[in-house]
Amino acid sequence: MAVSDYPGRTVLVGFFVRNQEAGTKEKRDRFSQSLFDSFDATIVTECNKAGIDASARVRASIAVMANNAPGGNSAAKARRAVAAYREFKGIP
Amino acid sequence: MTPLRARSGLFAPVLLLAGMVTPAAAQDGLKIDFLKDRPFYEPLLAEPRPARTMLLIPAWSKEFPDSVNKGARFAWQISLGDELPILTLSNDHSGGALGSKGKWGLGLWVPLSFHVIEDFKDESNPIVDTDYRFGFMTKFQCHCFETMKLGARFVPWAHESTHLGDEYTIFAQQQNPDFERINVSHEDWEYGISLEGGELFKDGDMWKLRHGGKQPWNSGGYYSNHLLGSEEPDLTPSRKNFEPSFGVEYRFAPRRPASRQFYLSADLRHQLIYNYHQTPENPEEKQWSINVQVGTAVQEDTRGTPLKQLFFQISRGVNPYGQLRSQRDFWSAGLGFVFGL
Repeated sequence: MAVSDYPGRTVLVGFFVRNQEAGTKEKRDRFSQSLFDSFDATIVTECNKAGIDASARVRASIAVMANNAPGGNSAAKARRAVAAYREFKGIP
Repeated sequence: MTPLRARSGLFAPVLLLAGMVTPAAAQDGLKIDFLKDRPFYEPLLAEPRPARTMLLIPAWSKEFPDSVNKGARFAWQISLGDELPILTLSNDHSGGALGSKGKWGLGLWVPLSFHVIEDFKDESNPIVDTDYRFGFMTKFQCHCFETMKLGARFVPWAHESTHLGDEYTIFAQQQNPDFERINVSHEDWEYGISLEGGELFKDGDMWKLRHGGKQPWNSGGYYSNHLLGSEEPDLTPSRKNFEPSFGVEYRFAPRRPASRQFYLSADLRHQLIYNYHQTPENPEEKQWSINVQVGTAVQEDTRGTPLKQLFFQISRGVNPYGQLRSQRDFWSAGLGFVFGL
């Protein structure tokens, strides 16, 4: 299984939103890996379709957005988050 | 499958996972949270008695067994309750729903609720009945397949206490010399299994299939064998106690990313019609009871929106309230609201 390459600062934001604390590096790494496992494949696919440069920083931001989106389906949450990022970047 | 076999079989994965949770494993890769809720095995939206806060108003129902005025009536229903989270364990560290294949979660909750129905047709608008429930509940869910989750729920012990309203009782005693006040109170166990998934027809839709069953622990069944205020065992105990249930739910894809979802949800259960004076000529019987909801609900894992569901509900079958469970072919219908945080 691929290991998360999400940058620590973005992961900290996501971790804090959920837990209201910074947590230990170990806890944030596990959180990062869970987000990566849940959303990254869909994010990469959708970014490629939209022509978005899917850097680790961009993918991590989108994963944090997806983790806080409502719904019971990870792929649907990730697609919505990518759609929001496209809107933010003005990509049709 | 007998209830006992079903119970032991369903408990096995929970015990297996509990065995995996050694202190070393907990340090190694499990997220352990106390007093934090996670959405493992949420109740079916049409489940008749989950621990949640629900109003059914405006609502109507069939007359009750000892109603003074005959005919259908305006009768609103109130449920107050919640599943209080105690402990959750998971190898998914996102803090929300299980996000990918191979993730699982297990937890302990305390479901606590009470359920009231008030009649607006008889004099003084009597509270007809109030039922109280609390217990312990373990829930397990596994993202075992790419687009499906398998879940199990086991309530090893729950208590239900039911209380007929005093005004209803007074009117019943005045007009019916054979009226009896039955003490419907019991401890029970309950199991449930769930299969749920998404993207059945469209991106963002969801479906659920459920099966469950419950049975009282007491050998005497669902109610005392004597009337309140008496020690004489005048009542015949309930015997056909196991009540299986089946449920199905479909949530349509949301029209906008964070909008509510239209849904259809149905719960079917084979319920005992309480018979307090059984004879060979008048034996216990059961009836299939159905509860159907059509409405809108916030998407799962939504936080900070108080109104969770808005729906129309219709139910038919055994009266669900206390000693009135001796009434068959009861019906109620109304507009419902579910609230939560």
